[in-house]
This record gives sequence, structure tokens and C-alpha cells, in this order.
Amino acid sequence: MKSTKGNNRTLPKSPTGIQGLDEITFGGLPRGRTTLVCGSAGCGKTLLSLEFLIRGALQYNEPGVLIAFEETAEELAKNVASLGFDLDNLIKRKKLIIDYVHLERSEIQETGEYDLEGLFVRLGYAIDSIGAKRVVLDTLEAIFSSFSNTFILRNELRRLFRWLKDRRVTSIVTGERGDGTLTRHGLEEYVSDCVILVDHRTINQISTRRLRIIKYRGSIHGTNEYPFLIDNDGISVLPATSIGLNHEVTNRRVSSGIERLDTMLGGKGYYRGSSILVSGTAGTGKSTLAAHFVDAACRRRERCLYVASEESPQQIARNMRSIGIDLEPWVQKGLLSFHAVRAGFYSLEMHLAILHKLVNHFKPQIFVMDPVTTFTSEGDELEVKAMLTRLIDFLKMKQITAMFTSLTSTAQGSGLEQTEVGISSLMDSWLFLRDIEIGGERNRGLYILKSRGTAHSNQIREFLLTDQGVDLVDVYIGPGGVLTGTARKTQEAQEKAEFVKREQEASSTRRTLEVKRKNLEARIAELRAEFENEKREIEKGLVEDEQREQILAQDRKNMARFRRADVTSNGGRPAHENFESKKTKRRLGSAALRGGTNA
Amino acid sequence: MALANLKKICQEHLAEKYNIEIIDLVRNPQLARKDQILAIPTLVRNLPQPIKKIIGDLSNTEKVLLGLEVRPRS
Repeated sequence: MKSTKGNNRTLPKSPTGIQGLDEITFGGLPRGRTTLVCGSAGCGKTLLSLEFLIRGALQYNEPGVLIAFEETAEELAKNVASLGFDLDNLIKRKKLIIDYVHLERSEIQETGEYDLEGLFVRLGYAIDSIGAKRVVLDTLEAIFSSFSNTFILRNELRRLFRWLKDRRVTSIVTGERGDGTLTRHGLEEYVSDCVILVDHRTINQISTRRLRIIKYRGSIHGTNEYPFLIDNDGISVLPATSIGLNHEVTNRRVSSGIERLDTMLGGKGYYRGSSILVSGTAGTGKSTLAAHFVDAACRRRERCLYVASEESPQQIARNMRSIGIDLEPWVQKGLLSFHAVRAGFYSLEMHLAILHKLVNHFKPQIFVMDPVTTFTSEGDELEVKAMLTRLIDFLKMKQITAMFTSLTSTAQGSGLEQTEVGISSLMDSWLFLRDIEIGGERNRGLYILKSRGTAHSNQIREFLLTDQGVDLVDVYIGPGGVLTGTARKTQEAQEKAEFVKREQEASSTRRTLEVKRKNLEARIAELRAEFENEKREIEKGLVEDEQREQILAQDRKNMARFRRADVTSNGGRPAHENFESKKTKRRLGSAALRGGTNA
Repeated sequence: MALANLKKICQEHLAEKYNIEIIDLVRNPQLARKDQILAIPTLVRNLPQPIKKIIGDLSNTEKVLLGLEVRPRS
């Protein structure tokens, strides 16, 4: 069982200073103890241990002693000079002692009992003279080929490791890999604290160096095989698989460079730090989409790393100029960096390691890999997926927005999306570009297969490449299905004609209605005039009647006066005549009311 | 014990033709590096060249003589 984190804190460690190694050992090698580095010839054991000493001396002010059994100090100095390490200078500054132990079997005659006190004396003297904190014995197993009494040697080895522990120096012993065992002479029996295995394998003609921590007593450690690089910065171990799924997330968005696409992605584009897969068949505009993205980012003064595995940077720049995107100025301003490499040039791990270094060095905000599919040919799907997972995790940890383009086979149908399910699950957004073949022509269609955490459009857009870059237009969706290109234009024209026709029909109907209304109004006016006449006639008749009544009444009065008759209280007017006049008035009123309703 | 063995061998086989220098590495540790000493005790034959080293307690006289090339290999 691995110890808990609490123990991990209490176990003191010596940082190696080697990129990545401290990460997978969670702090370095066990302080004051011995670590065994084993591996076959040419694996980088010597370099690893030497870098441990050099970085210890330079970065942590811990002087070191190297007991070299195989190479002289001059040879070692020459070997690491190409990596930028100046051993002579370190030796002069008393930061490093290299003691070359010359062992020549033919010069040595064994007679009876002996021990290796001489080695202890030399080591002790070297440690004391510079106050060394780190010791490397490379390759300790050489003593087995020089002395024949293995019983004595094993005793002495046991004594040596105890002695190193007592001296409280952090030490590395290296051992040649044996047949079926970690070391040829079983050094691992004596070193119980930490064992690191380095390996150099060739698979499919591509060699990869790998490193694995087999044992680390009292500490948690990464247990996988980690590829490592030896380049002009020395060793860098790639601890990508140690990265977990606990990277920071952000709600900030980053524009895709195409306004319409941003709209489709919920109005604001991709999430910053997310991974985007752009897949599509050949010639559907994947690189163009990537170029737009890069161009927009550079306009915002962001740094972009463009990994091209199919085209040269010049070719990409030329092709993008044809659609109105000029990437050249961004390269000159140092905002855009191309990394062109053939997939088959290195192993996947090596690519990953190089990308790690590039990203760490260039510090981009945007990462584009165009296309990612060429790497698929380098290994089986599982390996590619593992590599991409590590790359994406790494980029996410650094909050870098990554776009990967992927070429799908030209076969039509749903199977074409199937092949990419493997890598698509790693991606946050998946844009799909495809050919739509209608009416004897091919057109490009774009849709969003997925976009985690955004309200995105489910519509297919037609994807047009113009002199001014990409344009997205709505496709025609109607009873005839999805139409693009000329078919869409024809359909649109047809619809336009129909629309005009409908418009015309509608306006003629409106005119008819207007005429009808006018007719009606004329008739109403006519009726009203008729009524007014009638009303005037009736009123005139009434007035005449009244006058006649008055005259009659006057006549009756006169007549009565003439006959000297009695005068009635109501002015001589009979009751029935009064009633008649009221009735006439009411009839008039209702006639007026009817006239109003008719109007 | 090695020294006693050595003196005995030298007196028997190299009478008056030898010079023994005894170095205590605990006192002169830097000499271990200079003379490429690993095992203790080590008998170094400096002259004649080439340098020969014989390690152990020198209890096997035959082997010591062989190592010092006093007795030609047969």
C-alpha cells in the first residue's frame, strides 16, 4: 500500500531539478537515502544522475560527488557540454567532484581477504572536501567485473548503502539492466527506498525513452511509464498522465472569428480553455475555420501555437490569403508560431513531449492542431486517445483553448461520424463540416454536434468560402428537404416569385374592398339625403297643421264671441285634438331614429 | 597481517631488492584517488612498469609472486 499524504509530508525529499521528475515523485528523491536508477545501455542513466548532481549544485546549492566507474571526468564533461552544462566550471567552484575509478582486471591480483575500504575512503574524502549533499555512483556494478569474490562484494555493498545513509547524503547508484531482473547483479536487493527504471524502446521504427518509478518507499508517486526527452535542456520527463481532471474552468468566452458561428454557439463563441474538434471530409474548410480562429485571436493580441502536420506554414499562409486571411503579419509580430512536423517523425510520446515544451516556452492562449488525424496513423486508437487526453488535460490546466481538426473518411453516411467517437468524447465542442450533395453539386454544410455548457444552435448552416473569408448562411429547409448552393438559390428565387405573386393578389383584393366600401358609403349618403327631405316635408306639414288649428281655434273663439257663448277653461280647445298632435310628434321621433341606424 | 606476509615474501624472494612504502589511507585519503585504490589492503607494485596491484591479505604466496611477476608464469 502506498502511504498517505500525511506521511508524504514528513518524508524529506531532494528535488532533482529535472523537468517533470519532481512532479511524478512529488518532490524529488528521498533525502539522505539511496535511489537506484536502472536500465539497459544507452538509456540515459548517467545523464539522469549527472543532471541530478548538476542541478543540485546550481539550483539547490547542494554540492555533489560523482564516482564514475565507466567514464573519465573529461569524457563526461564533453558529453554534457552539448547540453549546456559546464562541468569544469562546477569542479573549479568546488560544487562538484568527479572521481574516476579505474578498474582493470588484468592489473589486479586477488590474494586472500580484502574489503573495499578504499572506495569508502575516497568517497568520504570527496564528500568532506566540498561538503557534498549528493552522491552518484555510476555504474556501481562495474566492481563485479573487476573483483571475483562476490561474497566480499555483496557484504561491501550492503556496508556501502548503510554508510551512505549514515553520511546523510542523497545518492543515486546506477545499475545495468539484467536478464529478467532489474540489475545484473541484484543491486535492488540493497536499495530499498527508491527504484527508477529507465528504458529505451523502439516500436514501429520510432524510439522512445521511458521512465518508471518502480518503488518509492514512504511516498506516493506516479506509477505509469513516462516518456522523457533528452534535448539541449537536458532531460525532461513528461508527467502528463499525472494531470488529473481538476483543472480550473472559466465562464469567459472566446470568439470563433466568425460572427455567425458565435451566434450559433450561444452568441459568444467557445469557452476559453475548452477543446474544440472540427471534423469533416476532405476539403470542407477545416483549416479555414482554424485560420479564422487564429486570426481573430491574434487581432485580440493573443498568442497562438499552430501545429501543422500536413502542410508547411508557408502553404497554409498562402492558402489562407486566398480567402482574405493574412497570417503572415501575426507570425512577424510573434503572436503566431507555427510548428510544422510530420507525424511519423517521432513517436506519440515524443510529439507530446515536444508540444509540452513548445507550450511551456511560447505560452499561447490558443492552440491549434491541424490535423490531429495524421497522428492516428502513428498508433492504435487507444494510444492516440491517451496522448490526446494528456495533451488536452495539459492545455486545459493552462487554460489554453485548443482546436483540433480531424479528417474523416469520404464515405457518406452516419458511419463517418462513428470513427471519431473515440476522440470526440474528449472534446467540449464538436463542429462538423460535411459535403451536401444536391443537384449535381457539392456544398459545404456546418453544424454543431455538441458544445458542452452552451445553448447552441441545432441548425445546419451552409458554409461559404468567399474572398473575405467564411460566411455562414441559412440553408433552405422545406418540404423538399435541406437545400444548399444553387438548389437553395433556385428555391429562394422561386419563393421570392411566389411571394411577389401573393403580394399582388392581396393588393388587388384590397382595392376591390375599397371600391365596395365607397359604394356603400355613397348609398348611405343617398339614403340620408332622402330621409332629410322626407323629414323636412313632414315637419312642414305639421307646422301647417298647427297653424290651421290655431286659425280654427281663433275662428271658433270669434264665432263663440259672436254667438256670446261660454268660454271653456282650456282656451276652447277640445281634448281629443290635443291628443292627436302628440301622437304625430312621436312618429316623427322614431323616424329620425331609424335614419340614424341606416347611416 | 598483509604487511607481515609481504615482508616475509620479499625477504624470501626479493632480498635487498625491494622498498616498501606503507600508506595509511585514513590519514592520506587523497592518495586513494591518485593511486586508484579501491580494495584494502592493496599492494601496488610501482616499479618496474606497468603498475601491478595485488589485493587481499597476501596469504597466498604463490599468487603474490605471480602478481609481482617475480616468478615467471609457467
